Amino acid sequence: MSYDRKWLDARKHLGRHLAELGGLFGRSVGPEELITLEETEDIRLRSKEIALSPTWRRSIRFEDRRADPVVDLVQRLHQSRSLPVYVWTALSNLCGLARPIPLAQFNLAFDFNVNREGIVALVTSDLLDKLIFDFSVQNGRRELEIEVSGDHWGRVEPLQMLGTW
Amino acid sequence: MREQGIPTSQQPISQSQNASGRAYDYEVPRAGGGTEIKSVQQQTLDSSHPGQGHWEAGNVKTDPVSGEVRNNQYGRPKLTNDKSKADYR
Repeated sequence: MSYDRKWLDARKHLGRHLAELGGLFGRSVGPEELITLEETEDIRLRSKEIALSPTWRRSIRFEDRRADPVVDLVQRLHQSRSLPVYVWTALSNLCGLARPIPLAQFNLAFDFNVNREGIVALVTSDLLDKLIFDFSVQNGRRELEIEVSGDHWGRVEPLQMLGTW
Repeated sequence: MREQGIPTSQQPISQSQNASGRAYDYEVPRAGGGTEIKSVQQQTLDSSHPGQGHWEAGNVKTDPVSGEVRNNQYGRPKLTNDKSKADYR
């Protein structure tokens, strides 16, 4: 894709991108907080060279995303590796990544409709650890699949199952 | 299929079948250039509608960082949340 085409796409989707980031950060996000498309692509390519293992996954009710075990998991991830994280969505690849934020500043109360894809990835700034929130309707129920991977985060004790899920 | 921009005359690039039904994958032009993969999937195991299967169509959900396809518990690609649904008639 040509540079002009990328630039036009970025302009076209910028408003939606910032609105999504606002929902994920729990505050308004401005365009000055985004890095360039070239920097974003460079980070994405470097991240693909790193093997993220071990990995574990757990599925919970979407409504339980702020429950104590999830909050506790985020705290344990932070203790395991306290680097800031890139909050990465599909539009990040089109419009540019936001500068990394502390993991504790990610808004666990994000809305189910925060983006069309139903997925957001949090990647440590050294690209060695990753947390994915994959939310969708499965069998008529809103589900949140939490995937944790990386040499540090992947070794953190997995989330315990919640309720009757 | 039309709602998701999949030409009804187009042939799938792959098809499969598992416990939850059949699935057809299509490669369609992406707005702004390039192509993307759309999937049309039969859902026979949706426990929220017992005995009432339906079809779903939409973009295949991918990891925004790696681009890897996200699969559901049946090993089938998940669809993005803006998917379309059609009940059997």
